[in-house]
Amino acid sequence: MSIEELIKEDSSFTESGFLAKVDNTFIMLLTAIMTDNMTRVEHKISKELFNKYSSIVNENNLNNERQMYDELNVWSTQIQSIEKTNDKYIIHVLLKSRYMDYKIDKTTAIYKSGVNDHRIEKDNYLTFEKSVNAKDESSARKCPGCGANIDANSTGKCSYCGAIYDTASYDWVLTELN
Amino acid sequence: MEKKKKYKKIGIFLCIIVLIFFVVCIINPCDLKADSGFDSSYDSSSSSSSSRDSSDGSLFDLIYLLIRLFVMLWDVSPVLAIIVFGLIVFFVIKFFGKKSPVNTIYLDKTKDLKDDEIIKIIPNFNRKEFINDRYNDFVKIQNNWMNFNYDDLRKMLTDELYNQYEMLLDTLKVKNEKNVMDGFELKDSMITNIVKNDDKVTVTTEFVIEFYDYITLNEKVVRGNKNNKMTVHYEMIFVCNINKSNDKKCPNCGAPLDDSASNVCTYCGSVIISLSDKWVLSKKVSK
Repeated sequence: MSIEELIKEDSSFTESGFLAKVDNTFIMLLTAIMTDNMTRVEHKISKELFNKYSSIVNENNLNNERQMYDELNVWSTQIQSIEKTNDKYIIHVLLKSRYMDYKIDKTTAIYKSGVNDHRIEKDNYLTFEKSVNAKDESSARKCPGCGANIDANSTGKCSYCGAIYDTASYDWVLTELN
Repeated sequence: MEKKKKYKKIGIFLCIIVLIFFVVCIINPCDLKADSGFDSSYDSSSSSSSSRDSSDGSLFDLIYLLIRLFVMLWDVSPVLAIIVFGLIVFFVIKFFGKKSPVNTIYLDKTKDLKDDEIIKIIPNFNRKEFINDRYNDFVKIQNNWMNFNYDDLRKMLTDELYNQYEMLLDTLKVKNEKNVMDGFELKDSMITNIVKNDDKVTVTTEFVIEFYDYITLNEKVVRGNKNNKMTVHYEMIFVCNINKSNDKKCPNCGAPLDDSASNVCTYCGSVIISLSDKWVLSKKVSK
Protein backbone atom coordinates (compact mmCIF):
# COMPACT_ATOMS: atom_id res chain seq x y z
CA MET A 1 0.00 0.00 0.00
CA SER A 2 1.34 3.47 -0.80
CA ILE A 3 1.22 6.61 1.35
CA GLU A 4 -1.24 8.20 -1.09
CA GLU A 5 -3.58 5.22 -0.77
CA LEU A 6 -3.35 5.42 2.99
CA ILE A 7 -4.18 9.14 2.94
CA LYS A 8 -7.27 8.41 0.84
CA GLU A 9 -8.48 5.98 3.50
CA ASP A 10 -7.28 7.95 6.52
CA SER A 11 -7.53 11.67 5.77
CA SER A 12 -5.86 12.59 9.08
CA PHE A 13 -2.63 10.88 8.02
CA THR A 14 0.34 12.94 6.88
CA GLU A 15 3.81 11.51 6.43
CA SER A 16 5.55 14.28 8.36
CA GLY A 17 2.99 14.07 11.18
CA PHE A 18 3.37 10.30 11.41
CA LEU A 19 7.18 10.44 11.42
CA ALA A 20 7.04 13.06 14.19
CA LYS A 21 4.94 10.59 16.25
CA VAL A 22 7.48 7.84 15.53
CA ASP A 23 10.37 9.99 16.78
CA ASN A 24 8.39 11.02 19.83
CA THR A 25 7.43 7.44 20.74
CA PHE A 26 10.99 6.20 20.31
CA ILE A 27 12.44 8.92 22.52
CA MET A 28 9.66 8.47 25.09
CA LEU A 29 10.40 4.74 25.28
CA LEU A 30 14.13 5.12 25.80
CA THR A 31 13.62 7.95 28.29
CA ALA A 32 11.08 5.83 30.19
CA ILE A 33 13.66 3.02 30.47
CA MET A 34 16.31 5.51 31.65
CA THR A 35 14.07 7.11 34.26
CA ASP A 36 12.52 3.84 35.42
CA ASN A 37 9.07 5.11 34.52
CA MET A 38 7.53 2.77 31.97
CA THR A 39 4.04 4.05 32.82
CA ARG A 40 4.89 7.23 30.97
CA VAL A 41 5.02 5.40 27.65
CA GLU A 42 2.52 2.58 28.34
CA HIS A 43 -0.21 4.17 26.21
CA LYS A 44 2.07 4.51 23.18
CA ILE A 45 3.23 0.88 22.94
CA SER A 46 1.60 -2.54 22.78
CA LYS A 47 1.14 -4.64 25.91
CA GLU A 48 3.80 -7.11 24.74
CA LEU A 49 6.39 -4.38 24.25
CA PHE A 50 5.46 -2.79 27.56
CA ASN A 51 5.96 -6.12 29.36
CA LYS A 52 9.24 -6.76 27.53
CA TYR A 53 10.81 -3.43 28.47
CA SER A 54 9.36 -3.47 31.98
CA SER A 55 11.20 -6.78 32.48
CA ILE A 56 14.43 -5.20 31.28
CA VAL A 57 13.97 -2.31 33.71
CA ASN A 58 13.20 -4.74 36.55
CA GLU A 59 16.32 -6.75 35.79
CA ASN A 60 18.40 -3.56 35.86
CA ASN A 61 16.85 -2.69 39.22
CA LEU A 62 17.74 -6.12 40.61
CA ASN A 63 21.36 -5.50 39.61
CA ASN A 64 21.15 -1.95 41.00
CA GLU A 65 21.88 -0.60 37.53
CA ARG A 66 20.46 2.24 35.49
CA GLN A 67 20.45 2.07 31.71
CA MET A 68 21.60 5.35 30.16
CA TYR A 69 20.87 6.57 26.63
CA ASP A 70 22.86 9.75 26.72
CA GLU A 71 22.66 12.57 24.14
CA LEU A 72 19.82 10.71 22.49
CA ASN A 73 19.15 11.85 18.96
CA VAL A 74 17.04 10.64 16.07
CA TRP A 75 19.16 10.99 12.95
CA SER A 76 16.56 9.97 10.37
CA THR A 77 13.22 8.22 10.07
CA GLN A 78 11.85 6.57 6.96
CA ILE A 79 8.72 4.62 6.16
CA GLN A 80 9.77 1.28 4.72
CA SER A 81 6.39 -0.25 3.91
CA ILE A 82 2.67 0.05 4.61
CA GLU A 83 0.25 -2.85 4.86
CA LYS A 84 -3.43 -3.20 5.50
CA THR A 85 -5.16 -6.17 7.08
CA ASN A 86 -8.87 -6.61 7.83
CA ASP A 87 -8.79 -4.57 10.98
CA LYS A 88 -5.59 -2.54 11.00
CA TYR A 89 -2.99 -0.54 9.13
CA ILE A 90 0.64 -1.53 9.71
CA ILE A 91 3.62 0.70 8.97
CA HIS A 92 7.23 -0.46 9.11
CA VAL A 93 9.78 2.25 9.83
CA LEU A 94 13.56 2.47 9.81
CA LEU A 95 14.79 4.89 12.45
CA LYS A 96 18.48 5.75 12.69
CA SER A 97 19.47 6.87 16.14
CA ARG A 98 22.58 8.04 17.91
CA TYR A 99 23.26 7.83 21.62
CA MET A 100 25.75 6.78 24.23
CA ASP A 101 24.59 3.40 25.51
CA TYR A 102 25.95 2.49 28.94
CA LYS A 103 24.98 1.45 32.43
CA ILE A 104 25.70 3.13 35.72
CA ASP A 105 25.40 2.07 39.32
CA LYS A 106 22.03 3.29 40.51
CA THR A 107 23.31 4.30 43.93
CA THR A 108 26.66 5.86 43.15
CA ALA A 109 26.07 6.85 39.48
CA ILE A 110 29.48 5.34 38.69
CA TYR A 111 29.96 3.98 35.19
CA LYS A 112 29.67 0.19 34.99
CA SER A 113 29.64 -0.91 31.36
CA GLY A 114 28.99 0.24 27.79
CA VAL A 115 30.10 3.23 25.71
CA ASN A 116 29.97 6.60 27.46
CA ASP A 117 32.42 8.75 25.53
CA HIS A 118 30.94 8.87 22.05
CA ARG A 119 27.61 8.24 20.41
CA ILE A 120 26.97 5.09 18.43
CA GLU A 121 24.68 5.03 15.42
CA LYS A 122 22.04 2.34 15.37
CA ASP A 123 19.43 1.16 12.90
CA ASN A 124 16.12 0.51 14.62
CA TYR A 125 13.23 -1.27 12.89
CA LEU A 126 9.88 -0.20 14.29
CA THR A 127 6.35 -1.37 13.52
CA PHE A 128 3.32 0.81 14.19
CA GLU A 129 -0.30 -0.26 13.99
CA LYS A 130 -3.56 1.64 13.89
CA SER A 131 -7.08 0.30 13.86
CA VAL A 132 -8.96 0.71 10.59
CA ASN A 133 -11.92 1.84 12.67
CA ALA A 134 -9.94 4.32 14.78
CA LYS A 135 -12.06 7.13 16.17
CA ASP A 136 -11.29 10.79 15.58
CA GLU A 137 -9.21 12.13 18.39
CA SER A 138 -10.38 15.36 19.94
CA SER A 139 -7.91 18.19 20.40
CA ALA A 140 -8.46 17.76 24.16
CA ARG A 141 -7.60 14.18 25.10
CA LYS A 142 -9.83 12.69 27.79
CA CYS A 143 -9.13 9.97 30.31
CA PRO A 144 -11.21 6.84 29.54
CA GLY A 145 -11.71 6.34 33.26
CA CYS A 146 -12.86 9.66 34.62
CA GLY A 147 -12.97 12.06 31.65
CA ALA A 148 -10.23 14.35 32.94
CA ASN A 149 -7.93 16.02 30.45
CA ILE A 150 -4.71 14.13 29.72
CA ASP A 151 -1.53 15.56 28.21
CA ALA A 152 -1.28 12.41 26.09
CA ASN A 153 1.96 13.27 24.34
CA SER A 154 3.71 13.62 27.66
CA THR A 155 2.21 10.76 29.64
CA GLY A 156 -0.64 8.31 29.26
CA LYS A 157 -1.51 7.98 32.91
CA CYS A 158 -4.38 10.03 34.27
CA SER A 159 -3.16 12.08 37.22
CA TYR A 160 -6.65 11.84 38.81
CA CYS A 161 -7.75 8.21 38.54
CA GLY A 162 -4.58 6.46 37.26
CA ALA A 163 -6.23 4.97 34.16
CA ILE A 164 -4.10 4.69 31.02
CA TYR A 165 -5.15 6.65 27.93
CA ASP A 166 -6.33 4.28 25.21
CA THR A 167 -4.23 5.51 22.29
CA ALA A 168 -5.00 2.31 20.36
CA SER A 169 -8.58 3.49 19.87
CA TYR A 170 -7.45 6.65 18.11
CA ASP A 171 -3.90 6.55 16.91
CA TRP A 172 -0.76 4.67 15.99
CA VAL A 173 0.80 2.36 18.59
CA LEU A 174 4.30 0.90 18.55
CA THR A 175 4.07 -2.91 18.43
CA GLU A 176 7.60 -4.00 17.51
CA LEU A 177 11.11 -2.65 17.96
CA ASN A 178 14.19 -4.50 16.70
CA MET B 1 38.95 35.96 -3.65
CA GLU B 2 39.09 32.19 -3.54
CA LYS B 3 42.73 32.26 -4.86
CA LYS B 4 43.75 34.72 -2.13
CA LYS B 5 42.28 32.44 0.51
CA LYS B 6 44.05 29.46 -1.04
CA TYR B 7 47.46 31.20 -1.04
CA LYS B 8 46.89 32.37 2.50
CA LYS B 9 46.14 28.83 3.58
CA ILE B 10 49.26 27.50 1.86
CA GLY B 11 51.36 30.24 3.49
CA ILE B 12 49.97 29.44 6.93
CA PHE B 13 50.47 25.75 6.34
CA LEU B 14 54.13 26.19 5.37
CA CYS B 15 54.76 28.38 8.41
CA ILE B 16 53.29 25.73 10.66
CA ILE B 17 55.43 23.03 9.06
CA VAL B 18 58.53 25.17 9.56
CA LEU B 19 57.58 25.72 13.17
CA ILE B 20 56.97 22.03 13.72
CA PHE B 21 60.38 21.13 12.45
CA PHE B 22 61.94 23.93 14.40
CA VAL B 23 60.37 22.51 17.54
CA VAL B 24 61.28 18.96 16.50
CA CYS B 25 64.87 19.97 16.06
CA ILE B 26 65.16 22.03 19.21
CA ILE B 27 62.60 20.96 21.78
CA ASN B 28 59.95 18.18 21.52
CA PRO B 29 57.98 16.51 18.78
CA CYS B 30 54.33 17.38 18.38
CA ASP B 31 51.49 16.37 16.03
CA LEU B 32 48.56 18.12 14.48
CA LYS B 33 45.50 15.94 14.53
CA ALA B 34 42.26 16.18 12.61
CA ASP B 35 39.40 16.64 15.00
CA SER B 36 35.85 15.66 14.27
CA GLY B 37 33.09 17.96 15.26
CA PHE B 38 30.64 17.52 18.07
CA ASP B 39 27.22 16.21 17.20
CA SER B 40 24.65 18.57 18.40
CA SER B 41 21.61 16.83 19.67
CA TYR B 42 18.30 16.93 21.18
CA ASP B 43 16.72 16.33 19.02
CA SER B 44 17.93 16.79 16.70
CA SER B 45 20.92 18.08 15.23
CA SER B 46 23.89 16.47 13.90
CA SER B 47 27.42 16.36 13.37
CA SER B 48 29.55 18.08 11.01
CA SER B 49 33.13 18.67 10.62
CA SER B 50 35.64 21.09 11.77
CA SER B 51 38.75 19.66 10.39
CA ARG B 52 42.24 20.82 10.14
CA ASP B 53 44.97 19.84 7.79
CA SER B 54 47.47 17.43 9.21
CA SER B 55 51.13 17.21 8.46
CA ASP B 56 52.29 15.18 5.51
CA GLY B 57 55.51 13.25 5.44
CA SER B 58 56.11 13.92 1.75
CA LEU B 59 56.82 17.62 2.52
CA PHE B 60 59.85 16.85 4.69
CA ASP B 61 62.29 17.76 1.94
CA LEU B 62 60.67 21.15 1.45
CA ILE B 63 60.60 21.69 5.20
CA TYR B 64 64.26 20.78 5.49
CA LEU B 65 65.06 23.39 2.83
CA LEU B 66 63.00 25.97 4.71
CA ILE B 67 64.84 25.16 7.95
CA ARG B 68 68.13 25.63 6.17
CA LEU B 69 66.90 28.96 4.85
CA PHE B 70 65.95 29.96 8.35
CA VAL B 71 69.39 29.04 9.69
CA MET B 72 71.01 31.02 6.85
CA LEU B 73 68.80 34.00 7.74
CA TRP B 74 70.00 33.75 11.33
CA ASP B 75 73.57 33.83 10.15
CA VAL B 76 72.85 36.96 8.08
CA SER B 77 70.82 38.76 10.74
CA PRO B 78 69.42 37.35 14.03
CA VAL B 79 66.98 40.29 14.18
CA LEU B 80 65.56 39.39 10.80
CA ALA B 81 65.32 35.73 11.83
CA ILE B 82 63.47 36.75 15.02
CA ILE B 83 61.01 38.86 13.00
CA VAL B 84 60.35 35.93 10.65
CA PHE B 85 60.00 33.58 13.63
CA GLY B 86 57.62 36.05 15.28
CA LEU B 87 55.47 36.11 12.15
CA ILE B 88 55.35 32.31 12.18
CA VAL B 89 54.21 32.33 15.81
CA PHE B 90 51.62 34.97 14.95
CA PHE B 91 50.21 32.88 12.11
CA VAL B 92 50.21 29.74 14.26
CA ILE B 93 48.26 31.49 17.03
CA LYS B 94 45.82 32.80 14.45
CA PHE B 95 45.49 29.32 12.99
CA PHE B 96 44.78 27.69 16.34
CA GLY B 97 42.54 30.50 17.46
CA LYS B 98 38.79 30.83 16.92
CA LYS B 99 37.88 30.46 13.33
CA SER B 100 34.99 29.61 11.12
CA PRO B 101 35.27 26.47 9.08
CA VAL B 102 35.21 26.88 5.33
CA ASN B 103 31.68 26.06 4.27
CA THR B 104 31.94 22.86 2.29
CA ILE B 105 28.23 22.01 2.40
CA TYR B 106 26.48 22.87 -0.86
CA LEU B 107 22.73 22.59 -1.20
CA ASP B 108 21.35 20.95 -4.30
CA LYS B 109 19.48 23.96 -5.67
CA THR B 110 17.71 21.87 -8.27
CA LYS B 111 15.48 20.77 -5.38
CA ASP B 112 14.58 24.37 -4.50
CA LEU B 113 10.86 24.90 -5.11
CA LYS B 114 9.88 27.75 -7.38
CA ASP B 115 7.92 30.60 -5.82
CA ASP B 116 4.91 30.14 -8.07
CA GLU B 117 4.43 26.58 -6.77
CA ILE B 118 4.40 27.89 -3.21
CA ILE B 119 2.11 30.82 -4.02
CA LYS B 120 -0.56 28.35 -5.17
CA ILE B 121 -0.87 27.30 -1.51
CA ILE B 122 0.29 30.46 0.30
CA PRO B 123 -0.89 33.38 -1.86
CA ASN B 124 1.02 36.14 -0.03
CA PHE B 125 4.26 34.18 0.18
CA ASN B 126 7.53 36.14 0.28
CA ARG B 127 10.55 33.85 0.13
CA LYS B 128 13.11 36.17 1.71
CA GLU B 129 10.80 37.02 4.58
CA PHE B 130 9.81 33.39 5.11
CA ILE B 131 13.39 32.10 5.17
CA ASN B 132 14.49 34.94 7.44
CA ASP B 133 11.62 34.33 9.85
CA ARG B 134 12.16 30.57 9.97
CA TYR B 135 15.88 31.03 10.54
CA ASN B 136 15.13 33.43 13.39
CA ASP B 137 12.70 30.85 14.78
CA PHE B 138 15.49 28.28 14.70
CA VAL B 139 17.84 30.62 16.60
CA LYS B 140 15.16 31.37 19.23
CA ILE B 141 14.45 27.66 19.65
CA GLN B 142 18.14 26.93 20.19
CA ASN B 143 18.39 29.78 22.72
CA ASN B 144 15.30 28.54 24.56
CA TRP B 145 16.78 25.05 24.54
CA MET B 146 20.09 26.31 25.89
CA ASN B 147 18.39 28.25 28.69
CA PHE B 148 15.80 25.58 29.59
CA ASN B 149 12.94 27.95 28.69
CA TYR B 150 10.24 25.30 28.52
CA ASP B 151 7.31 27.70 28.16
CA ASP B 152 8.84 29.63 25.27
CA LEU B 153 9.91 26.38 23.62
CA ARG B 154 6.37 25.06 23.80
CA LYS B 155 5.06 28.01 21.78
CA MET B 156 7.47 27.37 18.92
CA LEU B 157 7.15 23.60 18.52
CA THR B 158 4.48 21.04 17.76
CA ASP B 159 3.32 19.07 20.77
CA GLU B 160 5.29 15.94 19.82
CA LEU B 161 8.52 17.81 19.26
CA TYR B 162 8.08 19.80 22.46
CA ASN B 163 7.60 16.56 24.37
CA GLN B 164 10.84 15.15 22.95
CA TYR B 165 12.79 18.29 23.76
CA GLU B 166 11.32 18.41 27.25
CA MET B 167 12.47 14.84 27.97
CA LEU B 168 15.94 15.46 26.59
CA LEU B 169 16.30 18.72 28.52
CA ASP B 170 15.27 16.89 31.68
CA THR B 171 18.15 14.45 31.22
CA LEU B 172 20.56 17.36 30.76
CA LYS B 173 19.20 18.98 33.91
CA VAL B 174 19.62 15.80 35.92
CA LYS B 175 23.28 15.68 34.93
CA ASN B 176 23.65 19.40 35.64
CA GLU B 177 24.82 19.97 32.10
CA LYS B 178 24.06 22.76 29.66
CA ASN B 179 24.15 22.65 25.88
CA VAL B 180 25.66 25.97 24.79
CA MET B 181 24.98 27.19 21.26
CA ASP B 182 25.82 30.62 19.89
CA GLY B 183 27.45 32.56 17.07
CA PHE B 184 24.77 31.51 14.60
CA GLU B 185 25.30 32.34 10.93
CA LEU B 186 23.02 31.35 8.10
CA LYS B 187 25.07 30.16 5.14
CA ASP B 188 22.48 28.83 2.72
CA SER B 189 18.83 27.82 2.52
CA MET B 190 16.12 26.45 0.29
CA ILE B 191 12.52 25.25 0.32
CA THR B 192 12.10 21.71 -0.94
CA ASN B 193 8.44 20.83 -0.39
CA ILE B 194 5.04 22.23 0.48
CA VAL B 195 1.93 20.18 1.26
CA LYS B 196 -1.57 21.29 2.14
CA ASN B 197 -3.84 18.94 4.03
CA ASP B 198 -7.20 20.53 4.92
CA ASP B 199 -6.13 23.67 6.83
CA LYS B 200 -2.66 22.43 7.63
CA VAL B 201 0.29 23.53 5.53
CA THR B 202 3.60 21.73 5.89
CA VAL B 203 6.74 23.32 4.47
CA THR B 204 10.04 21.46 4.26
CA THR B 205 13.16 23.58 4.28
CA GLU B 206 16.89 22.98 4.26
CA PHE B 207 19.35 25.27 6.00
CA VAL B 208 23.12 25.34 6.27
CA ILE B 209 24.00 27.02 9.54
CA GLU B 210 27.27 27.65 11.36
CA PHE B 211 27.47 27.92 15.14
CA TYR B 212 29.38 27.02 18.27
CA ASP B 213 27.96 23.96 19.98
CA TYR B 214 29.29 22.31 23.10
CA ILE B 215 28.18 20.93 26.44
CA THR B 216 29.29 22.34 29.75
CA LEU B 217 29.21 20.99 33.25
CA ASN B 218 29.64 23.67 35.92
CA GLU B 219 30.85 26.07 33.19
CA LYS B 220 33.55 23.63 32.07
CA VAL B 221 33.40 22.21 28.54
CA VAL B 222 32.90 18.44 28.72
CA ARG B 223 31.86 17.68 25.16
CA GLY B 224 32.51 19.58 21.96
CA ASN B 225 34.76 22.50 21.21
CA LYS B 226 34.04 26.10 22.18
CA ASN B 227 36.69 27.48 19.85
CA ASN B 228 35.59 26.02 16.54
CA LYS B 229 32.28 26.52 14.83
CA MET B 230 30.49 23.61 13.24
CA THR B 231 28.57 23.73 9.99
CA VAL B 232 25.34 21.77 9.98
CA HIS B 233 22.98 20.98 7.14
CA TYR B 234 19.46 20.75 8.56
CA GLU B 235 16.16 19.69 7.14
CA MET B 236 13.45 21.52 9.10
CA ILE B 237 9.74 21.00 8.71
CA PHE B 238 7.39 23.81 9.74
CA VAL B 239 3.61 23.55 10.00
CA CYS B 240 0.89 26.14 10.25
CA ASN B 241 -2.87 26.59 10.04
CA ILE B 242 -3.46 28.84 7.06
CA ASN B 243 -7.12 29.48 7.84
CA LYS B 244 -6.64 31.83 10.75
CA SER B 245 -9.49 31.87 13.20
CA ASN B 246 -10.00 34.84 15.45
CA ASP B 247 -11.73 33.05 18.31
CA LYS B 248 -9.97 29.88 19.34
CA LYS B 249 -11.69 28.41 22.35
CA CYS B 250 -10.84 25.62 24.75
CA PRO B 251 -13.00 22.59 23.82
CA ASN B 252 -13.15 21.72 27.50
CA CYS B 253 -14.30 24.92 29.16
CA GLY B 254 -14.78 27.42 26.30
CA ALA B 255 -12.15 29.89 27.48
CA PRO B 256 -10.17 31.76 24.80
CA LEU B 257 -6.83 30.24 23.80
CA ASP B 258 -3.65 31.72 22.36
CA ASP B 259 -2.42 30.31 19.09
CA SER B 260 0.52 28.05 19.94
CA ALA B 261 0.40 24.47 18.78
CA SER B 262 0.20 22.85 22.16
CA ASN B 263 -1.86 25.05 24.38
CA VAL B 264 -2.47 24.85 28.03
CA CYS B 265 -5.78 26.46 28.84
CA THR B 266 -5.13 29.03 31.51
CA TYR B 267 -8.61 28.46 32.98
CA CYS B 268 -9.08 24.70 33.21
CA GLY B 269 -5.47 23.54 32.67
CA SER B 270 -6.37 21.22 29.79
CA VAL B 271 -3.66 20.53 27.25
CA ILE B 272 -5.12 21.19 23.82
CA ILE B 273 -3.46 19.82 20.72
CA SER B 274 -4.35 22.19 17.94
CA LEU B 275 -2.90 23.61 14.83
CA SER B 276 -1.09 26.86 15.39
CA ASP B 277 -1.82 29.98 13.37
CA LYS B 278 1.90 30.69 13.50
CA TRP B 279 4.60 28.58 11.93
CA VAL B 280 5.92 26.02 14.44
CA LEU B 281 8.72 23.54 14.07
CA SER B 282 7.56 19.97 13.61
CA LYS B 283 10.79 18.16 12.86
CA LYS B 284 14.50 18.95 12.63
CA VAL B 285 17.10 16.49 11.37
CA SER B 286 20.63 16.88 10.15
CA LYS B 287 21.51 15.61 6.70
